[in-house]
Amino acid sequence: MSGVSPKLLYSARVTLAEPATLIGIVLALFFAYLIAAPVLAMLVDAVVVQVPDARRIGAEPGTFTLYYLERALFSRVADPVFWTPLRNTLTIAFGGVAVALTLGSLFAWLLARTDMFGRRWFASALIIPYILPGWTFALAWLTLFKNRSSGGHAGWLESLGVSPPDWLAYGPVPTILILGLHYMPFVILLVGGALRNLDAQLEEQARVLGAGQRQAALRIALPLMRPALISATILVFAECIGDFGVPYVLGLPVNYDVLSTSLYRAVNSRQEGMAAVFAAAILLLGALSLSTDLWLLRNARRFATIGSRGSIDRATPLGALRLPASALAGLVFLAGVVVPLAVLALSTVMRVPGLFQPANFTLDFWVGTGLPTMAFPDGVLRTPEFWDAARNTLVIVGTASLTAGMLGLLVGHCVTRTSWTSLSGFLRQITFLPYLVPGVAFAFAFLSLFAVARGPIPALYGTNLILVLALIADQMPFASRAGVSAMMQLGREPEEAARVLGAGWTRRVSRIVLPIQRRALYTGVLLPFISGAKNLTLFALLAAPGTEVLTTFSLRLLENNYLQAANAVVLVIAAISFGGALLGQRLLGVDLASGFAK
Amino acid sequence: MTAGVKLTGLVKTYGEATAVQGVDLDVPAGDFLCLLGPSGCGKSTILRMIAGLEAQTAGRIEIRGETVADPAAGLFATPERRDVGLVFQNYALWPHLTVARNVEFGLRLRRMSAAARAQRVSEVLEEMEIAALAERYPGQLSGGQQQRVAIARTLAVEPKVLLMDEPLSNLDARLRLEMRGVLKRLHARLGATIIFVTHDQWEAMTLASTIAVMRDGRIEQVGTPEAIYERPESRFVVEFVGAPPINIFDLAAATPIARALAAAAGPRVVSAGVRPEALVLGQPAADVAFAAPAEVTGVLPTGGAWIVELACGNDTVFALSHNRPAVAPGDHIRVSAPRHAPHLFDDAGRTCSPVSMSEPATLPTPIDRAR
Ligand SMILES: Nc1ncnc2c1ncn2[C@@H]1O[C@H](COP(=O)(O)OP(=O)(O)O)[C@@H](O)[C@H]1O
Ligand SMILES: [Mg+2]
Repeated sequence: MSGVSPKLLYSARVTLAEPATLIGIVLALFFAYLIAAPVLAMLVDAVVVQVPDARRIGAEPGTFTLYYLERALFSRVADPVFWTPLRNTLTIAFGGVAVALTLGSLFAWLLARTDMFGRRWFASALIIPYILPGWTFALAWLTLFKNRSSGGHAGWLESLGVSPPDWLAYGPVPTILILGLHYMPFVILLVGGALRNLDAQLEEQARVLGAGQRQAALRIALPLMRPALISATILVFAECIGDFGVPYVLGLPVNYDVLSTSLYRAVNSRQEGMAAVFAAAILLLGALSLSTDLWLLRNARRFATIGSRGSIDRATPLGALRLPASALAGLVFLAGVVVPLAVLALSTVMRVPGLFQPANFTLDFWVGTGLPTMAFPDGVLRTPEFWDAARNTLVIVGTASLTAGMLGLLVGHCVTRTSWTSLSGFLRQITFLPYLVPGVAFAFAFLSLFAVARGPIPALYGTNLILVLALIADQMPFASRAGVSAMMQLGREPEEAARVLGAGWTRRVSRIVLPIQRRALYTGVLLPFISGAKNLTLFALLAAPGTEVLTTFSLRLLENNYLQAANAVVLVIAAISFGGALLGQRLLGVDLASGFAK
Repeated sequence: MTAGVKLTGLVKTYGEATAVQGVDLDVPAGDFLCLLGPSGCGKSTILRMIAGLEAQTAGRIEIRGETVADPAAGLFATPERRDVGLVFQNYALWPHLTVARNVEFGLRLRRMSAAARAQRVSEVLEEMEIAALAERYPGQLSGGQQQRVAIARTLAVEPKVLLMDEPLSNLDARLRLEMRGVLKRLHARLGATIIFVTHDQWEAMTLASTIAVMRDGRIEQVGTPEAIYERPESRFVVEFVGAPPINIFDLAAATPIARALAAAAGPRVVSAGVRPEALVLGQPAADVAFAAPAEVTGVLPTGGAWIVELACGNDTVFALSHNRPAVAPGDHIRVSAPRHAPHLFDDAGRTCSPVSMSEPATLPTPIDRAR
C-alpha cells in the first residue's frame, strides 16, 4: 500500500466498515437527481427560449430570455393570463383554509373535549373525506348542480326543474366548499392532537390561578394551540394552491382559471415557457407559506415542548347542545361522505340524470354494450381501457409505494447510522423538499427534466417509469420521516449486537432491522399507496395515452362529457383508497392518523 | 486458549470534544478488568472502540496480539471480524426472536449444523439457568432474565474477549448481587478475558482482578482492588473508591485537624484524606497522625455498621464503626487517626509518599472529655 497515506487508508476503511454511509451517498445522489434536479430544470425553463417560441422571440432555443416572465407579469395579456389566475388561486386557497379551519377546529374541540353523542364514531367517520379523492366531491357536485350552460347531461337539480345559477354550480364557491371539506380532517387531527395534550395543563392552570373558564381558554389555551392552528392553516393552504383536480373540474365550464389549471393547459398546448412561469409562481407560494410556518413556529415550539402529563379525558358537558352538536357532525358527514358517494353511485345507474323513474335505472354504464355515448360504447367494466388503467394503477402505484416505503426505511437507516452528520442532514432535507413544492408544480418540474433525453438518461415521458419516479419523489417526505423516526426509536444497539456477533450489513438489515420494522414498513407502503391511487395532479401532467391510470382515465371521460362513466371510475378509485385504508387498519394495524402528520 | 487486549495511546474526539484522551492499558489474557469511573468519563467509548463500533482518532488497539485498529498503520478491522463479545447496558435483545433464536443467531452465522446449534443453545441456557424460557420473547421477560439472555447470547459463540457495558446497572440490588456471583463463576470457568465497565465501585471491588480508574477520558490508576483501595495514587481515586466517602482536609484551613496534619506533613502536601473506617473515636492509639477534640453531631446506623458524624472545628468528619459506638449526639470525644492512615496529596491532587509525614502532632484539648 505504498503511496497511500495510512491516515487516508484508515478513514476509507472506517467509512467502508459501515455501509450506511456509502448507501447514504448513493441515496443522496439519487434524490438530488430525482428531486432537486427537476425543480432546477423547471426554474431554468422559465427563463430560456423554448423550441416552439424561437421564431416569435427571435432567438435560438435554449438561450436566456425574459420573454415568458415579461409576458406573464407585464404584457397586455398579463392580467387574464397570470394575475387573474393568481388572484383566483389565492381566493380558493384562503377560502378553503377558512372553511377547513372553522369546521376542523370546531370538530376537533367537540371530539376531543366534549361529551357529544357518538364521539368515538365521528372521530373516525369525519376523517373519511381526506381518504377519498378530492375531486370525487367535485364530480358529485357537478352531477347535482350542473346547469344547461355546459354540455352533456344536465344536473339533477336542472332535471328536477330547478336551474342552479352558475355561481353555485361552478367556480370559486363550490371549489372553496369542497377543498374546505376535503382538508377539514387534516385540521381535526392536528388541532385535536394538540388539544388532547393540553388538557392537564389547562385544567391545572385554571384551578391554581382561580381563573374563569373563558379566561383560561383565551389566555392559556389559545396561545398554546397557536402552533397547531398555524401548522394546520399553512399546510392546508399549501395543499390548496397545489391542488389541480377540484378547480379543474369545477372551473372548466366557466373558464375559472387558477395557477394549477393554467399550468395544465399551458402544458397541453405545448407552451412550456409559460407553464414554467406558472409552476415557479406556485412553487414560490408554497415555499413562502411553509417558511412562514417555520418562522412563526420558531418561537412557539419553544414553549409547546413543555410536556404535559397524560391527558385527562375531561369532557365539557354540552348540556342542551349535545344533540345539535352531534347533528352538525352528522350533517357534515352526510355532506362530506354520504351524499357525494351516493350521488356518484346513483348517477352511474341512471340514464338521464335526476330522473327517478324505474325505467331510467340501468346497469348499462357498468356492464352494458352499445351505449349511445359515441367513442365509449361499452359499460366501464366491459371496456378494456378501464382494465388497462386499473392494472396500470396497481402496478405503478404499487411499485412506487413499495419502493418509497423501502427507501424511507433505508433513508432512516442511513440518517441514523452514518457518522457523517452533513450526509444525514442532506438526506433529511432533500427528501423533505417535495413537500415544499405543490403537487402540480412538482409534476411539471418532472416533465421539464425527464421529457427529453438528457445525457445518458433517455426521455422518460410516455413510460411507466416517469410516473413511478414522480410518485416516489412525491411520497418521500412522508416515507423518509416515517423511516427516520422508526429507526430512531429502534436505536442502534440491536444492529450493533448483531455486528459484534459477526453479521454483515445484508444480514443485519434482512434478519434484524426489517423484521423489527415490519409494522413501520406496512405504514410506509400503505399510506403512499392510498395517496397514490387517488392522485390526479401528478398523473394528469405526466401520464401519456399509453400509460393511462384510473385517475387520468376518469379525467378523460369527464373531458368528453361521459359523466356516468367518469363517476363509475371515480367510485372504483374511492373504493380502492377506502378499502386500502380499512384493510391496513384492520389487518396490518397501520395507524392512519400518522399519515396526516406527514 | 485465551487472549489479551492492549491499548496504546488511544484517543477519541467528537468534533471539539475529547471523550478519550490517550489511554494506555494492557489487559493480560484471562484477566477480569473493571473500567471504573464516573459517568461521562469515556468508559463506554473505550469499550465500543475495542469492539470496533467506534473508530478511534489515534492510538492502537491489539486483540490477541494482533493489531485490529491503528490509524497510523491504516488498519481498521470491522466489528464483524474482531470476534469479541459485547453485552450492552440495555441488553439489546431482538424483540422479534425468541430467547432460543436470540442465542442461536451467532451460531447460525458460524455455519454450525442444526443439531450442534440446538445442543449449544441448550447448554448455554442451562448454564445461565434460563432453559425454561427458551421459547419466550424478550418482551415477556423480567430485567434479570433479559440480562441472562443477553449474556447467554454472547457466550454462545465462546468469545475469547468479553466486553460488558454496565450490564448490572438496570437490575435491583438483590439481582445485582446474584449476577455478580454468576459472572465471577463464569470467569473462573471460561478463563476468558473480561473487560467490564461500571461506575459502581462496589461492583468493581467485588468482581475485578484488576481495576482501571478513569477520569475525564484518562486512566488515573491501574491496579488490583487492594492496591486501588490501600495505595491510591491520587485524590480522585481515593475520593471515588470507598463508602462512605473519604474525609478530605484542606491543609491551609485553620481547623484543628488541618493544622495538626499540616504541621506534620511536608511542604508539598496541600490536602489530606482519612477514610471513615480509619478514624479512631475515644482514646488515641500510641502512634497517631493527629488527635483532636470533636463533638458528636449524629449517629447514623446503616445496618451492621454505624456512621458517626462529628464536628471538629469547622470540619465535618464522618467515621465508620463496625461496633455500636458508645456515643450520642452532643458528646465531646477525641478523634484520631493512626500514623499511616492519612493519604497526602500535592497541589495537583497526586499522592505524596508517606515519608513526607513527620512527627506526630497531638494538640492539647481543654475540653477533653474522651472516654
Ligand atoms: N456520539 C457522540 N458524539 C459526541 N459526544 C459523544 C458521543 N458519544 C459519547 N460522547 C461523549 O463522550 C464522553 C464519554 O462518553 P461515554 O464513553 O459514553 O461515557 P461513560 O460510558 O463513561 O459514561 C461524554 O462526555 C459523552 O458526552
Ligand atoms: Mg456508558
